[in-house]
This record gives sequence, C-alpha cells and structure tokens, in this order.
Amino acid sequence: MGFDSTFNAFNISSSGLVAERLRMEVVANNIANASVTRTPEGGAYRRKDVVFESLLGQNPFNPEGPFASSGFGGVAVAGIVEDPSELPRVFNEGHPDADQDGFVTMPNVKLPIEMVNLITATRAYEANLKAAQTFSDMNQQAIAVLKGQS
Amino acid sequence: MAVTPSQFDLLSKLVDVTAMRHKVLAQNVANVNTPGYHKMSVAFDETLAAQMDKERNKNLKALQPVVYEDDSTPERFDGNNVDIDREMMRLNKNMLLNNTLLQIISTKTAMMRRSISGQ
Repeated sequence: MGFDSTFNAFNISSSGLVAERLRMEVVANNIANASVTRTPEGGAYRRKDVVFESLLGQNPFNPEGPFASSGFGGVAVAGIVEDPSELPRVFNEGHPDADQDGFVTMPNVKLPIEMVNLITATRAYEANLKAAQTFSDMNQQAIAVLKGQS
Repeated sequence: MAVTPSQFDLLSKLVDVTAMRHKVLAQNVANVNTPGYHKMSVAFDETLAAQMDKERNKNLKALQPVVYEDDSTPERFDGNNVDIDREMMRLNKNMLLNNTLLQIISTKTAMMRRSISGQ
C-alpha cells in the first residue's frame, strides 16, 4: 500500500486543480491588462492563453508489479502562449499612444470570452474537487468495512 | 508463538511514517506564503519496497523515513515552491492511509481478543 500508488486518484485530481488555478491566473491577467497600450516588450498587450497536455504516471500499468496503478498522471500545463490574432485599432485622437492618424492599437482581449473562460475554469476546479472528495468517501467506506469486524 | 499478531512491526512502522508525513505536510501548508521556502517531503515507500524484496533478514526496525527538501516543482517569484492544492490532496491521502492502517491494527487486535476470550 504505497502513498503514491494506492491513492493515485488524488494525484490526478490535484494536477487538475493546479492547472485550473493557473488558467484562472492567466484569465485574471488578461482582464486586468485589457486596456494596456504599453508593455515592456513594446506595443499593446497581447492576450495570453494556457495550453494543457495529458500526463502519464510514473509507474506504467503492470498488474503483477508492486505498484499497481493505472499509469495516468493527470494534466500538466504545456505552456502559456500569446494569442496571435490581430490587435484592434481604435480611433482615439487624444490618447498619448495614438499614431499620426489618431488610431490607438488596443489589446485583443474580449471581456465576454474571458468571463466564459473564468466560469469554465471555476467549474472545472469544482469538478476536480468533487472527484477527489468522492474518492475520499469511497475509501472511508472501504475502511468502514473493516470496522464491522472489530 | 509470537505474542503480538503477525506484521505488527510493519504496521506500526507505517503508522509512524504517516504521523511524520502529516507533520511535514502541515509545515508545508503553514509556509505556503513564506518567501524562499522549499517544500519538504518524506521518502519511505521506495526504501521499504527495496527492503521487502530481500529474502532474509527483514530488519524493519532499522528502516527510517527520510525527510528531504523537495525541489521537484518550480519556484514562484518569491522563491516558494509549495502548491497548496497538491499539499491538501497529500494531506487527504495521508489521512486515509493512516485510517486504513489503524483500522487494520484494530481489527487484528479484536480478532486476538476474541480468540483469547473464546467468543
């Protein structure tokens, strides 16, 4: 009964929690920078997005082996990428960053999309928590079976 | 005939490891915002598996869990690498493992008690 092999479902759920938490951070960053026209790299802020990838566990599926686990590792964040879509140009003659035609290049952040992503991340976080909670309840019931013998 | 039920040494050693692991995990959770803090982990399962593989002389009393500084996860900007979600899940796992082991010990002693009292 290993700490990491018997209860591997918790590792998988916690990887989901970590990934969704990072997605929420990226969404919050996008929303906060939705009107930023000056970035350290120069130019307007470009919207960022997270890319997830699936992980395999450390012990591949081997029913005869000492660590009998499914071999799944949950999810990992492959990276944070910039949205390559076009930056909108808005007419705002008085703006300090306006070009000679009076247009300002604004970030390509669309608030409704960010809010939907935020809701998605929240629900996914809750779903992962629920999965871990259910697994915990299952194990408590298994332990309770032993309790009946004493 | 041994006085204590079989594998009592192993079970009590495993319970000790879960107790120590709880302290280490609670320490990590308490320091989740401390700048420069690296989380600690307990290594025991691998050494136990290696020891059990040997045919003779299963000297379980000598096996000790090792607390080490875990640098496997990346640092945040303040130098802290504690992931609150993972530590909470590990606490949950440890609690279940502890309950399972204690329940096994309890059932074993109950069986002994029944066979002593004859009912």
